[in-house]
Amino acid sequence: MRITDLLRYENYIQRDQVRQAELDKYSKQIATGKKILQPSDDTVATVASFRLKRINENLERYTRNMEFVSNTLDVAETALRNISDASSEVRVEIVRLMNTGVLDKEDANVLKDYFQQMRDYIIKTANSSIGSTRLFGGVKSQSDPFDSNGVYQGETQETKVPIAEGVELNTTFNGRDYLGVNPTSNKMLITEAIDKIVDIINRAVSGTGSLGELHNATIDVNGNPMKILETFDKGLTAVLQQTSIIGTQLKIVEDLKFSYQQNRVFNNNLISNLEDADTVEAITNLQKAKTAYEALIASFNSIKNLSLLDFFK
Amino acid sequence: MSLLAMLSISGQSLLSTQRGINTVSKNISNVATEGYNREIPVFQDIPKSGVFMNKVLRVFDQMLFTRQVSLGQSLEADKTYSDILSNIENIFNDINGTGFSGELNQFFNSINDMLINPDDLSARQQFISNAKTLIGKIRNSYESLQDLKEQVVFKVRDQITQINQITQQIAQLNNNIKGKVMDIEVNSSYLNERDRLVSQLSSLIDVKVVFNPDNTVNVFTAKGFGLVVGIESTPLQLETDSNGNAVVRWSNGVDITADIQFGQVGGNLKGLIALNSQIQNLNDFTTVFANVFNKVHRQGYNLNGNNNIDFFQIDPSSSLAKIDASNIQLNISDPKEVAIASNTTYLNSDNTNGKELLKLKDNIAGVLSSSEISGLNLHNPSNYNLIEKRGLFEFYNLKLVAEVASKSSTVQTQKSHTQALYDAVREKLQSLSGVNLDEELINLTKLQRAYQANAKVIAVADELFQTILNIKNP
Repeated sequence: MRITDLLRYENYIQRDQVRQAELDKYSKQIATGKKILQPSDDTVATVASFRLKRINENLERYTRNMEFVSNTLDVAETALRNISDASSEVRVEIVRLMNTGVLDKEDANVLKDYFQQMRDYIIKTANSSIGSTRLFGGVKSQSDPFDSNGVYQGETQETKVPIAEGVELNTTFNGRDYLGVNPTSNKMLITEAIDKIVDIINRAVSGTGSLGELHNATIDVNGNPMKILETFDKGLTAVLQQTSIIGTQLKIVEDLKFSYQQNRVFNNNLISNLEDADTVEAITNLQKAKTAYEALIASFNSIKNLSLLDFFK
Repeated sequence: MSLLAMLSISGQSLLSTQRGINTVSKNISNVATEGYNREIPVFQDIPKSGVFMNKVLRVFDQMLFTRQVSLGQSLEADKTYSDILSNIENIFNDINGTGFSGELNQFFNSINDMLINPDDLSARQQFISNAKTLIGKIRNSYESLQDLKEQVVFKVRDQITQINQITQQIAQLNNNIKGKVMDIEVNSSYLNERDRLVSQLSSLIDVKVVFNPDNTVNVFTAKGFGLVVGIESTPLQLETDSNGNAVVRWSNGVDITADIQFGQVGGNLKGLIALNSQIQNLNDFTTVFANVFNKVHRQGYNLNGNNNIDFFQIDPSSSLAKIDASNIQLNISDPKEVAIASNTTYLNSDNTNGKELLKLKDNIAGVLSSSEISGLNLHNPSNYNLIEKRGLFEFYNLKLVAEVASKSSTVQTQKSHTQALYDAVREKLQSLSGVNLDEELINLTKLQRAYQANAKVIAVADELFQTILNIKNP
């Protein structure tokens, strides 16, 4: 092929551009730490990275929701556990009262006071709150869900927040279910049973009734007459069941939190593989491009003055 | 042969050699001139006489030149188109901080804080701040695309002006070439200049060049509209339509915009189509996003107990009747006005509507009625179906990022391929027609020697004359 002067220079300019573009590309990769400088560098990796980042942001958000939910669940579980512990103690006293009765009126009054104090404690615990938000009033969280008589004033609708796709956990609870409320009287079964016992003791002390009624008296629970202990146990069972449900929810939160952490680490690795520059590779490529560029300059330098013109005298 | 004949032959040879040296000198002068075709002096012996420079051969390959013109216009189109696509990509390059995918996700995710505590004004304020950031990014993306579009239209305007100047010059050169058929040296220069202009023209617009037997050229657009026919040139006009798009018209008003596929103008026109498509997709995305969000927001109640309030609105300064990326604005500024509740009794604790708003992040299906969907007046109704089927984020990924990125990648590959072909043809043409200084110096030496030899013959003839003249004067 015939080589012309212009062709030689143009080829140099062209090759120089190629080398400089390479130098620019690899130094940009090193400077930004990214191998994808534009989406068109790798469209599939770009979109995959967007998706993974979005998943990670969602996981981060869910994790934040879980922090709040697990705090709420902890407080709710503690409240229910306190109620069930107190109720278990009360139950022992009820059984003892039913089996042995009382020695005298003074004993009866002491026992009555005990029942009333425990009832108030249970109601107070059922009105537990985080800040100004009552836990067991459902969506009606700004006022006490149970009045001083143990009557439920809350809502059945609960407040829930998402902690995973399609999974929501409570930030407020429906007190009707969680604290075993009698649909007929709208009172907590446990406190209603205690109230009935106190009423029987009062009448026995005043002589208008007898403690023997403890064995036969009934409470209307959703249209069914139930004995006092049976009613109490139904209420206590409801509280225990819901406590275990909250325990399960806490377990779900812990499990999900762990799996989210794992997933985020995996996703971050993948994102890094997709978009981050391999520094060693980028530096090696930069070095290669630099060497090629130097070779180009050196070759140009060595022959740029080579011409017949120099030999003409 | 007489002594006078000897002098005459030598004189003629000196003049011929001189013209040859002039040609070599011209070649040397143009060693760095782009588009110059070297010339070779062709000498012929004259019977019973000396030498005569018969012609100057212009070294030129029409086939290679036509191929170079054709590849050049494809290459310029690819380069221009690729630049525009690259600019669009940069507006949606989330990896390097542009685009609004992250802001969209942040906007939706900040609803979670309000779900946890609907009464928390700081969570509500944060949500409104995120909404403002998102709107700012959307409008900024729109404005960047519009700016880019305006710049491209300005470029096309300049290029059309250039095309008209070049066609005028080619017509003038055609006239000169016709009138200087006999002056071979001048004619070669005209031909070189004409070919340079044809190359320049083809880098701007796709043209067909017809070489006539009288060395003039006719230049037509791809669909056959004459730009230069003989010594007449026909100008192109540029207009802009109501959407600010470029419309190229030929002479009597024929719209030839769609016919222009190559050259820088072709690349820019393709770029405008890509820009319009991107703007339309961005507008459709914004229209759907704002309308579904407004619809769900209207259904909820804010902390003041009010419902039926839009979250987004049209910027009052806009003349448009629908929300899009050019005019989206927040309708509320008070954090209490975010409608998170569905239950009017528990405005500060119910989060039901907030959850409905959050669901829009992944699924907008069923939010709008069919009449509301058709009332959106989208540029491309299938965009709604895509958002409904794949969600807002996938629409962003697919239509606003991946589509333009893969197009850009394809054009870049095509550009590299065309560049390689173009370089190969250019190299061949250069190799054939370009000047090699060593060659010219040797030719110069050859002609210099011939000149010296002829001069020597004249000196010898002179001596002979002197000898004869001195015979009578011993």
